[in-house]
Amino acid sequence: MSTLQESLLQAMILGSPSWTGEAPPPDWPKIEGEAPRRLLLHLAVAQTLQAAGMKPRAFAPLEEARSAQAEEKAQVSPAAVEVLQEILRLEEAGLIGEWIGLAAARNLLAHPRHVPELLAWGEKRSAWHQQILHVSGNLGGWLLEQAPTLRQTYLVREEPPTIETATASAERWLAQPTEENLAALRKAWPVEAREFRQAVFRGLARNPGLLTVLSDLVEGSLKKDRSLESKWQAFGLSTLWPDHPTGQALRKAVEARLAKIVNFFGHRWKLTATEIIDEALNIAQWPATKTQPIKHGSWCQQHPQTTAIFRALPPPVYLHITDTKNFEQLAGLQMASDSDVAWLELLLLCATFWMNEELLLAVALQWKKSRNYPKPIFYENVKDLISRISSKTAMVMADVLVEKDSNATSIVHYMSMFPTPWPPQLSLGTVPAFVHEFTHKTLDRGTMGAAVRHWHPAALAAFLSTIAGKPVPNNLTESIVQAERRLRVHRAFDP
Amino acid sequence: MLVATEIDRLAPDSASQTAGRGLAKPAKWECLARQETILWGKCQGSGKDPYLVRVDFGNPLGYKCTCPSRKQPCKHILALLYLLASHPQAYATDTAPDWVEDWLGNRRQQAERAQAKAAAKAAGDGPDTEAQARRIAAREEKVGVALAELRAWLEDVARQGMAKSALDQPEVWERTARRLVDGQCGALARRLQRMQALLADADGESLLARELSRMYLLLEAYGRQADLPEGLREEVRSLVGWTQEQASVLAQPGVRDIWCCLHASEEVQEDIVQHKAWLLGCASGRYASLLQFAHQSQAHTLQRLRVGTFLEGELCYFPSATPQRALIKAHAPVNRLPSWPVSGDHWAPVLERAARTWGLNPWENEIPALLTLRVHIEDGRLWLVDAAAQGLPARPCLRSGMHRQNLSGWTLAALSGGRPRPLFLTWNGSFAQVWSCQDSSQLIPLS
Repeated sequence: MSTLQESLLQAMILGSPSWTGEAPPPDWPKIEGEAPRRLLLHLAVAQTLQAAGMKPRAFAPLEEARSAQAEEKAQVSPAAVEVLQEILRLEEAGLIGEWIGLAAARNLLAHPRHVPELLAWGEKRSAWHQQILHVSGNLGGWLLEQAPTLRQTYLVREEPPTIETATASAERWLAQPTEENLAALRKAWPVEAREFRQAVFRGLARNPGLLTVLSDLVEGSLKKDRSLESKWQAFGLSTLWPDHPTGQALRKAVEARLAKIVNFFGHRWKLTATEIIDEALNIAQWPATKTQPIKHGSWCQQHPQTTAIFRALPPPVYLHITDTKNFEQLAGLQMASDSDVAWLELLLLCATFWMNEELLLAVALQWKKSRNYPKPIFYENVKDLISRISSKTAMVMADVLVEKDSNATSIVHYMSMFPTPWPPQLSLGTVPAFVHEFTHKTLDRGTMGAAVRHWHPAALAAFLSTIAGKPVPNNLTESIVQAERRLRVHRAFDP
Repeated sequence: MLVATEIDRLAPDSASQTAGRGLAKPAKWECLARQETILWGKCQGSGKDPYLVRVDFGNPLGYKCTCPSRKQPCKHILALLYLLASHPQAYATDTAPDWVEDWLGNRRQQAERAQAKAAAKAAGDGPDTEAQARRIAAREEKVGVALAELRAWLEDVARQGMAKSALDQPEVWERTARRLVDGQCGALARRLQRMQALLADADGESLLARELSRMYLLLEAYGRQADLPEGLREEVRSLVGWTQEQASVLAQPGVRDIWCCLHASEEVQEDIVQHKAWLLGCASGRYASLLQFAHQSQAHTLQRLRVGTFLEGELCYFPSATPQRALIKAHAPVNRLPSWPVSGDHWAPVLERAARTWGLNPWENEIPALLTLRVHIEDGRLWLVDAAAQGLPARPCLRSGMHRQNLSGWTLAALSGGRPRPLFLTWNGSFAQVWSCQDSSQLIPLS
């Protein structure tokens, strides 16, 4: 900008009296009149001349300029480009994440026009950073170089080993307890998170023979573990220890506690008053008979201390104490009394606490019978449990549950807590129930929405083709549109 | 017949699109039928009786629905069109029922009235010329008064200084613009209202000072119309608010060519939809800007153009010292797909053209150009660098980071990847605004 133009602009801001009236070049048109008029017209001329005389700035030649490196990976299909454009416009976060996952899994790149939007979308979604960088390719790296603030967000940090990795190591070492592996486990013990210790304890519950070798770790946790969960596990493990005073006391106490239960597994346990146990464990009363209803919440919620103790018993101890020789006995439960429900609930908690999938599945089979008791089991504990057990285990459970006579739409409701797409078998298994409820207009929007978000594409396709031509209830219109959109996302990758 | 994307563009908003798609299921409709270019159907809504929906593909496209929605076209009309695109077999061929025939009859009558009016005008059977002259003289007087007030206001601002003129207060602009509207200077009022937004820019004060001075220059020019060349005089009058009759523009000889649409955008202001497009003649190398306006309810009458498409036809330019704005006189579909217009790769010819243009018409805002340039980002600023390594600044500024609201610049950077790409841009003397970018065989819009 010339000094003349600068002085003109300055005068426009401060007022014409402040204009010193620097003389314009002689080839300028002669402008007369009062100062404001001269100021305005001089400025108009100056800026027209400046715009017309604009000179470009010199830059480094192309050969020296830094550009994005050529990509080695292939780009997604035009259909995938189109569908991403649509879901970005609609800000469908769930589908955008799914699209990124599908592209990353196939080692494909997003179209360059979408790379900035994907990078911006992921700015506050750190869990997606790796996958977004994957689908952004070299271009994404080059763009981040130009955007220092965003680059900082995406900066790849040296992540410490994840809890999942540490847990997997613990399980591997205990599965092959060589001297070397046990030494590695001991070395990791003081520095690892509580999840690591809990994985070790679960392994010990499955292999009690190792308890004598690692007794110091269990004892240590029992005395001074900072995690209450780990402490309970150590407590439970001590019951597997034949000469452990605390463990044996606990075992006896639980046996005595159970002895008070009437109508339990068809056994009639001798009622023996054991005040010592009650005092020691501060156990609340079991429901005495089936006529005593559980009104609000589950039994386990009403008796948290007892629940904690029973849950802590490793499954072998639990099954031994309760004289459950095999899981078939569970089938004997008629789910007729509150005791049965409470028992199943406790068993479920125990199986989950120790991650015993065999027991979980047995409970799941029995679970179906408890439909008359939906509140305590389905809505309270199960919701909590599902959020804690691994998705893999939960999916196995759900697969078992999804049978023709099961309440598929209810299961969908619980399973919707999982972000992972459901396996095809599970998804397809629920479709007939959905079609039935859709046809009879009893399907609610929340359940349909959950299924639409989580169904395997095969189930989406099956459902949509089955209902094609049928009138869509008004409350489901949006869900059906979303189902079609999600199916298009998947078909863009797997036509 | 329209394809789904064209129907999307007809929709007044995305909610209508979604609702329309949701209703585009044969099962939702009690009846679906067609007769030549007419479609109709009955859709059960929340009311007792089904809504009667009809569409006429005649010229112009027409539609009507008995639902109470204020949105036009409503979701039922959109659904009827989506259904035709997705399930054409769902439509039975039938004779139009009375409720369709009545509506078609009304449409025919309206078209006949419009034709008769146009024919009368063409035959010189217009309104009383003396009365017309009186009206023009009266308007000239009103315009004169309004411009004198504007001149005084601008001089006041220059005298007091922008800092003391309360220009950050919307009512100051509204009041001044209202006086211009009262004085029948609509174009000038709109220009003034747009200036207020400049203050939000980081460089706002200097941009505003320049715009105010350009407006003052316009008032000077209006006062000396008799001394101006004809083209510039027309331009100045048009910038003040005198409309140029489209019929007279179309009566002039046009430029025949195959035109490539390099930019198309749409914005809605106070129920008025403005469709803007930039075209480039493949053989003539001439640029043309098309501006169309319609009330939101009549938005379907706009001749919407899409970026990257071609049309073969004749365009007539509005009279101006530097003609850019044009009207489509006649057009036909392109039988063979022409090759892309060739882009330059140096700034120099564009800057020369810009200097010539501003020498003739200092109010020209945009100099269009199709150039192969590479994007360079430096301290969050965007530069467009030519084959001779000469660069000019471009908008938007990328300093604020990468956000959804600020992605066009980053999208441009991504499409370029730092390598030369054909870009369609407009240059305003301070910075370039890129509107589309050529990527392999397609033109990608950036606005």
